[in-house]
Amino acid sequence: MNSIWIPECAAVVVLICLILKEIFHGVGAPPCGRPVPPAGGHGGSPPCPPLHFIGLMIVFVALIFARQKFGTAFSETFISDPFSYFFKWYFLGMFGVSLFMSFDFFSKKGRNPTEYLLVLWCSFLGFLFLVSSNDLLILFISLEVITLSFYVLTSYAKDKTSTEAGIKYLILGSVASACFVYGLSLLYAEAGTTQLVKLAQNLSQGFSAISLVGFVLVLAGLGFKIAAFPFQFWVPDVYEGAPTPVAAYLASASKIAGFALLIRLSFVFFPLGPEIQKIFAVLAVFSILFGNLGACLQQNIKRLLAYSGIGQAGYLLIGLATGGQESYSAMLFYFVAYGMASLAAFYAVTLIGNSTTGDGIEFYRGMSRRSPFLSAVLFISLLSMAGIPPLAGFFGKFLVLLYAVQGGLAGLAFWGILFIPISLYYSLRVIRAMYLEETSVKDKIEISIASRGVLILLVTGVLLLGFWPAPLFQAAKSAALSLF
Amino acid sequence: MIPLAHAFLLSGALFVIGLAGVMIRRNVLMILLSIELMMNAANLTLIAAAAKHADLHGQMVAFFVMVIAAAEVAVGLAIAVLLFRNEGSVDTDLVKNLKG
Repeated sequence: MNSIWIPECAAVVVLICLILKEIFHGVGAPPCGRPVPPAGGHGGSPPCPPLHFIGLMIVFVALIFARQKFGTAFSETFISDPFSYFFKWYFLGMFGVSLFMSFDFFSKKGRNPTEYLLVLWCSFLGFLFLVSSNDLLILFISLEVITLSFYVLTSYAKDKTSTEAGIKYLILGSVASACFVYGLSLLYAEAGTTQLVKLAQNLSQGFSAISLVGFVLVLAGLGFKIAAFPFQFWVPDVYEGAPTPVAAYLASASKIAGFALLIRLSFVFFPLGPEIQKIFAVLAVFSILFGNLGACLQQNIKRLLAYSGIGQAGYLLIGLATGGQESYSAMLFYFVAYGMASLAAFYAVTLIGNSTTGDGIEFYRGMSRRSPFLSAVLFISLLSMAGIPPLAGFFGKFLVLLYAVQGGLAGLAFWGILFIPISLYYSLRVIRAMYLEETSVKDKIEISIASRGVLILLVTGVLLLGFWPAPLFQAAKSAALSLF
Repeated sequence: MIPLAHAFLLSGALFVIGLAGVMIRRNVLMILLSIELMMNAANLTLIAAAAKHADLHGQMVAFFVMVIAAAEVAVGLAIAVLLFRNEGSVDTDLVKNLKG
């Protein structure tokens, strides 16, 4: 009896408890005393942040309990190694912040986000299983658990823009899933197994066109997740239309999950030949180009962050094209730096969005006087994403590009450096609006103590990782080492 | 016994037809149907490959793919209903509020 799946088990138990609470809400009360659903709503229980916090703590304790417990389970379809352990912490953090962002978001919208929170927990469960999957089937199922949850979350606001984002995400996401599963079936046809280690062994014996097509289709499915060129066109629309916490969760967790999978699958695919590296390099070049140039033209902050995310995916693809333990550990560092900065930025956008009628950059004029705190958060996180020293994002970019040069991809690294000033340009557009432009709106923005605490935590993380990157880089190194 | 290549050709054709359907049709229901076709192309490959390798694993995976496809359509239809309530139609040409 090994207990390597304790964190997943804990998350399942928490989810079931939350569902049970929902099922029995209002049962036992006399009919006249039952809560009356508001018009257009339903009789769900009101959101209870402490309960969700306890749930997070249970998973937190389970994760601490599961440290140093590595191995495989369920006939080798499930694997727990330092790599998956690293990502479980990452996803717990991203999920926790998104959860609290959702409470802030829905508190002003006057809607009871009952099912929303349950579906959010479902997607978290999918992330936990995804990074631990050691079999194409488990991998596909957990990927679909996440994607299906996101379809619901994206269209949860039910207004025109949210529905449009939902339908676009649904159609393109389903096509990507279908491509992924067809590629999976071709790989199975070639190798006769879905287990990743055996798959790598069987595929490396002989190169064939079918396995290359299978790989390209699987890559298309994952390329959609990471929002890399040429699968990026859904991103700005979905980020703009989705509730802001969902966009944050998509940017920080869903994108990084795709990269985690690509890293895990890399040892299956890299033996296929040098074409693979070329594919990643080409995707990286165009993602950086498209993301950074696209961001310069945006008038909406959520679209701007979406395009910025496409550019970040390009830098991470450089790391993937380089390959090797150092490059992967640099990518893991980049994930944390990017995840924290983008969550902080989206959190600030959520709180600012509660007091404005839209997310256009024109609403950010004079924000430094309306809310100096949120402006500072946005200032630091945007600069970190652009890659300004000494913030965390700088070290992420620096390490990825450094190892790319060492790995003989100097041209690609130069291309990456070329676009850093451009990413700085569009970040400064927002910063200029906040600090240098005037506004007629004078009312201050109220921030609850809880969200203030979370934001301070995120920004401190971004600053601390910039000044003191060694501990996280060591952790990333040992996590990446476990793959080799 | 049907040669294996025939099964792979058929599944390839189904996949391409499905993909073409997604690209050509503008009705959400037709798009969902085409996506089903793509998923089932994968099922066919899995089952044929399971026969080729004399391995039950592929058939098992096919069951899971069916379940996932059904779940996907359930969510998809819910969002299509939402679209119909907002726009009065399930035509994807109507959804163009978001741009920048």
